[in-house]
Amino acid sequence: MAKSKRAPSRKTGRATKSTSRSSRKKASTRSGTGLLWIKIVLIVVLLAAAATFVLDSMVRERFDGKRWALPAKIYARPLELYPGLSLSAPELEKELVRLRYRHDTQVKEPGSYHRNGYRLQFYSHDFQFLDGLEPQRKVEVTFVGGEVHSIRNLLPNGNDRDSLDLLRLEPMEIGGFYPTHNEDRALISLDQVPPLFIETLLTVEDRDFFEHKGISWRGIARAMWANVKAGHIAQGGSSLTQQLVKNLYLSDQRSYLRKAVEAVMALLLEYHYDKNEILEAYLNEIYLGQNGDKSINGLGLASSYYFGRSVEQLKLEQIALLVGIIKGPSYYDPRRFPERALNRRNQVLDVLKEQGVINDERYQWARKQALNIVSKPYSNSPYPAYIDLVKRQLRRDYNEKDLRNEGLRIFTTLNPALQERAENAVVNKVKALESAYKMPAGSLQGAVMITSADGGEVLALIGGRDVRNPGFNRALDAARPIGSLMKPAIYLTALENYSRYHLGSLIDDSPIQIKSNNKPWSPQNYDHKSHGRVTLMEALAHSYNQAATRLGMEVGLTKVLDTVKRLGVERDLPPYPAILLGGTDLTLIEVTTFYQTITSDGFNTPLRAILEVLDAKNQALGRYPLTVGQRFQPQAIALLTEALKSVMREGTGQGVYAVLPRNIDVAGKTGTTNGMRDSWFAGFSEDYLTVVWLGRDDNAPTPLTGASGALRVWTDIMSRMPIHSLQPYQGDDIRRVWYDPYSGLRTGNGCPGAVYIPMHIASIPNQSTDCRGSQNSPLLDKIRTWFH
Amino acid sequence: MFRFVFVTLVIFLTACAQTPQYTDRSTREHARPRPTPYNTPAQRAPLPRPAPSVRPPQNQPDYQQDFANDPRKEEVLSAPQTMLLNQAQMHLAKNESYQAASLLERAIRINPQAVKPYRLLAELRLQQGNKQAAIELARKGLALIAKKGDPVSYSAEKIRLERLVAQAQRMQA
Repeated sequence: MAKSKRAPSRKTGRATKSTSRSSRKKASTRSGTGLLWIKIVLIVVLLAAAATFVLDSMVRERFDGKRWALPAKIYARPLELYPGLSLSAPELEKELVRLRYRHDTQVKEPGSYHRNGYRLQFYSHDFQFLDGLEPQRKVEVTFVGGEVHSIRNLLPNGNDRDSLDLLRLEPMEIGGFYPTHNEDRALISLDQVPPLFIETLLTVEDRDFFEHKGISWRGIARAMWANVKAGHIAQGGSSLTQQLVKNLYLSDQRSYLRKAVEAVMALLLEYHYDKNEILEAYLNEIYLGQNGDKSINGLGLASSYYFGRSVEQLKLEQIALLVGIIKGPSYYDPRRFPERALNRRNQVLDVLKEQGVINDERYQWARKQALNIVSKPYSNSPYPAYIDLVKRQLRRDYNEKDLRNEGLRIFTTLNPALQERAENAVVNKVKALESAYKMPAGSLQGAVMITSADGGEVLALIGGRDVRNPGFNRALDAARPIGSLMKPAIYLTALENYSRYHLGSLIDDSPIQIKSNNKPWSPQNYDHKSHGRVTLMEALAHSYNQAATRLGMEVGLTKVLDTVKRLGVERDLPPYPAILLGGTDLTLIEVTTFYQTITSDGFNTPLRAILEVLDAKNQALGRYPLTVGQRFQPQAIALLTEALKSVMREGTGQGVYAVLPRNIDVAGKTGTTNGMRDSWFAGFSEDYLTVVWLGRDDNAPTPLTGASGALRVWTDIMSRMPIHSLQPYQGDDIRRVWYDPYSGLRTGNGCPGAVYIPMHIASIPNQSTDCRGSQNSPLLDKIRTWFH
Repeated sequence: MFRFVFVTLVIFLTACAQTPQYTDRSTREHARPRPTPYNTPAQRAPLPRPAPSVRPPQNQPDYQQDFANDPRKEEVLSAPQTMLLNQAQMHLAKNESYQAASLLERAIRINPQAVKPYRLLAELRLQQGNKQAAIELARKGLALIAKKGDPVSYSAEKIRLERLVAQAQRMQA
């Protein structure tokens, strides 16, 4: 603080009084300028201090924030292998490739495999599941007739026997919750990093890391000297701390100001945090490549992305490559520029040898190794529509903040093999249909859901034909009229009434007119014809609108709507007769729920995509348990299923047996809406329920019916899956009988006009009749009819 | 001059006041809500095996005597399923319901038509006090038996399931 230059004259006595005015004036001018300079310096100092404070708070906030953001991981279902599982050798191989296993004829390490015809050897990684640790195992699986035949343990230890009854593979990672939008993380802690990596890193990038205070003057000098010697920029002089600052806080802008700010922040960082913390942060932040629009940051992710292994498993030549590409991950991209990458890696090996980090033997060995980069993984999440469903279910039950901050592991029911098959079917068939029917390219959209027929687990989900890019999720959000998919609800309502209706009951498929919403309504059959009196089974198989409407009004609209509710559709439907023919909007997931109750023996089984959520310590945050609720008797469901099988054998779903083997019983229902705006098919085997929708987003008519459109996609999917024939109901309260619909009585074996159908014992008529119209005596038959 | 210094000092101090708190990971509190889909089981002291005329312990199925002597009446399960069910029963005995449920569901995935996994799941729910869920799962087991048309091989399981339903219904009343 400058003192006034005008000292009180009293102190010095009389002498100052004699100071002339002019000298006083001069003194004041000099002190005025000095004061101005002091003010300027003060302002600059204070501004610098303020700037430093701002930078300081930025540094600390960002650094701490990054450390807390452990991402949550989402896993697909783990494949469980056991003798008798329907799986082929190529399919298992594909599964291992999906898990980033490397091919190695020796199968030396976890994460490698080798296939030889029907024998597949692999070495699995260990994995901690909720119900226990699945240890790593080296096994040989043999296949016979499209099934797993045996699983032999090649390295039995302790309690393990030679042949295994069950082996669970580690699950595939399919996505996660990340702190920022397009980044990805596989966070590692410093003690996971091989010491050799740290040595290599420091030797190449920052030799004085542990000595300097944030900026290495020696490093800068060394770099300047090297650059002068080389005649161009050969080395950068930035310390690791400075590089970390650049990665964490600053943009790619190159300017002196930025360099200055970077230097200040590096010093601040070192002031607040110790060397190990900085090093760990560096290893988790360093930019090491680009995968589409996703950046590869951090050593954990990079070792997985390039070498398909975890950090601990990195070998010398792999370490050398990773450290080498820090200088320019795009320039030295080992997939795009393998020669450059190899040279750079060898350069690093040279430096290591020079500096005595490795001996000559290791050096020579490492130099000889090829790059050995694994195949690229998917960019972003490979299954965005499925992940969308998972996130919605999680958001309903957990705080978003919890999910972002806890390092959670979320186990889902996704079956990647089925998902991929479904995706291929949709993408290819939609394109094929468009060109076959001369529709504008890109106009036809589709959605698919596959669930396990009994458990209601969501195995695959497709929200649109552009499967890689999340957009509108039609499976979850597009509510469209369901048309004839509604009919099973009518027939089920009738079939529950064993004393009144059965599969052989006759209904009149003739014109019908009723009031719907105060307007007269005359539903037409698809072929605009009437078919007279038909059995319930035929009416459903051929999807006759007139018969269905008549039956629906007979059993009662309220009862049908109640059936729909019991099937699991929670949406309130308006009580108009048009509902009977599906004149109501449902989403694909709602339709799947409806049919799930049918495939689960009449038990409403809420669909699950998530099984359990585990925290970072492997404790369960929560489970989504298997839940069932009986809504219908299994006998009524079995009868309905018979009719739905008939849809496929004799009815609108016949096209399926042009592709599927005839000995596989499947069941389902086609659905076509007004103006053919929606093409639906819902169908199931013993093991899988698959629902398909095709249509246009602009709701314009298409040339497709349920059979010509959605069924084709369904058939394509199911024919590529290991499906099993529907098991018939074998309880003795349902019997197959020969029945004459016209007399309503039982009849003889193979009589003309008779049908051989399953009936609940409460429906079976007590009386029987002779054959109607025998071949030999038409006159006698005529006489007989007089007496009936 | 003094005024100038005073003002800049004020600005300086204001900048200080905006510096956020430095939180250390070890002192951070995690207060997060933990919604669980169902109740976790309460701790129960083990009870002695009852004589037939005594009321069975709360929430335990009352058929301690299995039909161990007649294998014809027992469901035959595959080796992987048997392994999983044994592990599940170990967890059940330790009240580790999440692990037990996970193992039982794996068994169901391997063969969805097997009855015993559903029966054990029903027992688990009953143990947890979720009577309606227990009843529904038991009914599922009974429906699976009804479909099979093989009353002999499933007679033991059928009886267990029926008793479980009856017991759960009594507890509900």
